[in-house]
This record gives sequence, structure tokens and C-alpha cells, in this order.
Amino acid sequence: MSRSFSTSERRVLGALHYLGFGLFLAACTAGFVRTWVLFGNPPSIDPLASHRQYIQLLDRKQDYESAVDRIEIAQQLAPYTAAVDGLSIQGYGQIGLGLLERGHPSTARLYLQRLFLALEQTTELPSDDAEMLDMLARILDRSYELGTGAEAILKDSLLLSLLNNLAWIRATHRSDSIRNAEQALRFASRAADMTKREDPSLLDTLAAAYAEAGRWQEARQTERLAVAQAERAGVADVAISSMKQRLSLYEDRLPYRE
Amino acid sequence: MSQADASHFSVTRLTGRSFIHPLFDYLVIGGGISLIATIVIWQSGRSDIVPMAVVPLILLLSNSAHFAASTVRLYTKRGSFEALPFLTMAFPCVCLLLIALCLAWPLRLGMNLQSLYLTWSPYHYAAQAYGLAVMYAYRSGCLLTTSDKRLLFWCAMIPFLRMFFCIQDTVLGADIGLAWIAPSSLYRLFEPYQAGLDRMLLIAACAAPLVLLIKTWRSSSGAIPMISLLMLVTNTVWFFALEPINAFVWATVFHGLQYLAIVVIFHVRDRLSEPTNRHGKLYHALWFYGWCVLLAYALFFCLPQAYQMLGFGVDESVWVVIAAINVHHFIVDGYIWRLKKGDSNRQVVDSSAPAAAPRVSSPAGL
Repeated sequence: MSRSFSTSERRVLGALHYLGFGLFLAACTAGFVRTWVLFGNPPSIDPLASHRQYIQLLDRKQDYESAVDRIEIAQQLAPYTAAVDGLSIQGYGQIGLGLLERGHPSTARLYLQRLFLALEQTTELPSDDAEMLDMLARILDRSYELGTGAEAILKDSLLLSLLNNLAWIRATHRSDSIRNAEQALRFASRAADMTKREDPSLLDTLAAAYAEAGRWQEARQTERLAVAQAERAGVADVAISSMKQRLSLYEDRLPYRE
Repeated sequence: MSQADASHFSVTRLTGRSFIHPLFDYLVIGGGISLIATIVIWQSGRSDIVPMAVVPLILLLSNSAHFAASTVRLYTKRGSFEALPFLTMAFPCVCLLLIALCLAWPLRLGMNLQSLYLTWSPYHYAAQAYGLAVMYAYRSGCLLTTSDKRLLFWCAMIPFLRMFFCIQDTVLGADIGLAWIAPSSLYRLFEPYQAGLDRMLLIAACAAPLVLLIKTWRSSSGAIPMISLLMLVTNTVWFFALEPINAFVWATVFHGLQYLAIVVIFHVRDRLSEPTNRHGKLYHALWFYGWCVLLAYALFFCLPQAYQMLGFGVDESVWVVIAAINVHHFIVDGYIWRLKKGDSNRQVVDSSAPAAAPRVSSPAGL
């Protein structure tokens, strides 16, 4: 690189020098202004900030496909890129699900952990949000099939609560578009099996799922078992009396609706 | 014991002739401060001993600024344009083009650029440790023989050899060293021997500085100064004691501090020696460091945004630009630290050197 150059070669080099310097200056200025316009701040000194900001932007646009594409590439170039915080519940779920479906369970787990943390802080599932319910159902199904993801990261209590709540909504919701007997039965059975069919509230949900599926005999048997378990466990009278009301509905071949 | 023998073993000779103050030279240039930090990280078993919020600032002020420092030095050193016309004038355009090509094919070209930089980094650090060790030996009047220098070189290279042959870590993203260069069938044949080689390199890394000390002590050159050995030890500790990802992060931070200290010393001495100089040491040091930080911000944080603006991916833009800046730094370093006769670098090293000495390697050792 230090060989001697002729005058004309030096002229070319000089031109390249000004071109390179000009391009660099223009690029840095444009990059600085772009970040300020897009995000209201100058470029952050954290190299992972661009990735974070972009994923948050895609979450706001609900473009989860692109977000998953981005995360896949980031993981290939820099696997230590952390999961992005500050996303919506829907964002965590859709991205986690997308990554699960594309075969990245360990990265999916990072997003699903954040989803479940957010869900843990909410008292009830949004029972009218069909999209959210579908997403949760797909996450539970997909991770169950893979034996990883949500199953591996959820504490038993949260997994039970999620399965039970989802099954209950699918079995008892007033809207036909939300109810889904097959899904309600699947989730309620998994939850009841996890507790060896000893938890009265999970049995109560399973009975509602049977009723929704039109399996009246199993609905009645399961509800009777739920009542017996509840009485043995000293569950509050109000809860037992609701179970008995549901039992009488099932005896009349009527499903329970909320 | 004769007078010559007494000087041969004098304390000053053994500690080495410092540039600023023995404490500063040992802690910052020698890497003593990194040993303290490494012990803390290693003992705590945690890599997050520094709050995460502060890490980007530390990286900007040391790591990123040091990458920029080679460029600032290249363009502020008198006579660079005449001596290195291609490097100063055409090379930036080549780099911008290379980045664009790597961004166009991120997983094919971009990943290879990343592998190149990750493979080259440990060599660069090892070469810098070697160059600085020779420089301190020279400054301290320890005239290393060719065989001493060869031994010193291979001592310095042990951490690089470990990273080249023995690292299988996938956390870094791209393949490194042999895993990158060799065909996977050949690499798999080598894999069973990696653990054994790693142990051998560890033993060699522990023994080599002692062997070097004893060899030089018994030779006519006299014992190599402790600061030279400290350079080798710190570079070894970074790559043997820490997990690969921590090794890369912390080695770059401490190597950056070491580099910034030495480059600022060279810049300040250059400027002070100019007949037209009207400023003091602090002015020149702050001026140089200020430009390094500003350029680092532009290179690492503004330039990727420009590529994103052109439609390239967010993550590719960041990681390819980082890899390209690293490679640019390694190449520029190979030229700006050459110590030709008459070069200002040579004058800085020669000033206060106790005796005339043979050719000395550059701090970057490239």
C-alpha cells in the first residue's frame, strides 16, 4: 500500500479520497437525522438499540411476520441479542409463536416468558378477544407438540391457570364464534390430568367442556365428581352451589353459558 | 559483581522504563487494571459486574474510540498521505463498497466478514502484546536477541492459537478460526483433539513467560522488564480465564484502553516536538481523544443508520459495519505503527531509550 504512485494515479487517489470522505460525511449526517426523525432521539450508543427500536416499531404496526424475520437474522449474526422488551402482549405471543413454528424454540422461549409474565400480572384473560385466545391456544398446542417452549417455561400453576381459563372461555362463552368444544375439551383434559383429576375447579371446567361437546353423561359424572371433591376440600359454599346449578343444567341436557 | 552486572539486574531495568509513570504504565498500558477486573469477573462467576446501562458508554469510550483512534492517527500523523497514499485516500472507499456488498449478501458475505474479524481479533491483540513487550524491552535497555524475540512472539501468540484451534462457541454468531477456514469434514476429524490441545496451550501459556524471563535473565540482553511480561500475561488471562463472549468484550475494552493510552502518547509527543507547537500535553491529548470518540460515534452508530436508510436490514447494517470497522482498524494498524528510521514513531520510542538498539517491532506488531 505504500508503493510510489504516478501523478495521474495520485489524482485518482485524491478524487477517491474526496469521494470517500464526502460519502462518509453524508452517510453519517443522514443516519443521524434519520434516527432523530424516526425515533425522536439521536442514534443510541447501544449497538442493540436499532434492533430493539425496529422490533418495537413492527409490534406497533402489528407486522409480526417481519419481526420474526428480523429476529431470525439477528440471532444468526449475533446470537447474544436479547429478547426485546416493551412489546404488547399480542406482540410477545405472535413473535414467540412465529419463532416456535420456524423451529427456534430457545429464542421463542425468551418471548413466551415475557408473554406469560405479562399474563400473570393480568387477573383474567380477555375473553372477548378472539385473536388473543386463538394465539394462546396455538402457543399451548404448538409447545405441547414440541415438548418445549411454553410447556418448559411455564410454572405449573400458571400453565394450569392458562389451560383452565382458556378451556372455560371456549366452553362457556356466550358467543358462538368464541366457543370451541374440541379445544375446550383438549385443554380442560390436560389441566385435569396434570392434577390427577383431584382439583374441583378443573373438573368443573372439564364438565363444562363435555357439556359444550354434547357428551352429557360424562358432563354429569365429572360435575358430580367436582362437587364431591369440592365438599371434601372445604371449598366455599357459593362455589359448590354454582357447581350444583350447572349439574342440574347438564341433567336437563343444557350447556352452561356466561 | 561488576558494575555492568549490577545494571543488568537493576530495579529500573526490571520494572521497565515507563512512558508516563510506572503506576499508569502498569495499570493501563500493561493491562494491570484488566487483571483486577478479570479476577472479580471470574470469582463472581458473573459477567454483569458492571450495570448493563453503563456498558454501552464504556464500550464507546474505550472499545469504539480505540477503533477510531487508528484512523485519527492515520490522518493526523504528518506525512501519512505521502507515505501511504492508497491507505489514506482509496481504502475508505473500498471499505464502504465492501460493507455494501456484505449487506447485499449478509448471510454469505456478511457472515464471512464477521468470521474474519472474530478470527483476526485475537491475533491482533496478541500481536499488539508482542509489539508493546518488545518496545518496552527496547526502551528499558533489554536488547533481545533474535531467538528471544521468537520466543516472545510465540508466547504472545498462545491465546490466539487457543481461539483459532479450540473455540467451538456458537454464542459469537459466526465461526472462528479453524471452524471457519477448514471444511467441516476436516474440522470434525480435529474436534476430538481440541480439549487436549487446549490443556497443552494452557500449560504453555503459564510456563512460557517464566521460561522467557529465565532465558533473558541468563542471556547477555538482561532480564526482560516485568511490564513486557505483564502484557503477555494479561492477554493470556483474557482469553483463557473468561468465557469466549466475555473474552471478546473485555479483551476489546482493555486492549482499547491500552491502545488509546499508547496512541495518545505518540500523538502528544509528535505534536510537542513540532517547532510550531503552541499547546501543552493536555490540550493535544484531549483533542486527539475527543476526535476518537466523535469518529467512533459516527462510525458505529450513525453509519449503520445510513445503510438502513438505503434499504439494508437493521441488524445486518449494525453487525457488518462493526466487522468492517474492525478489519479496517487491523489493516490500518499494520501500517501506522511501522518504525522506519526517521519516522516520528521511531523518534518517540527512541527518546529516553537508554541505549542504541537494533530494529524494534511496532506496538501493533503487524
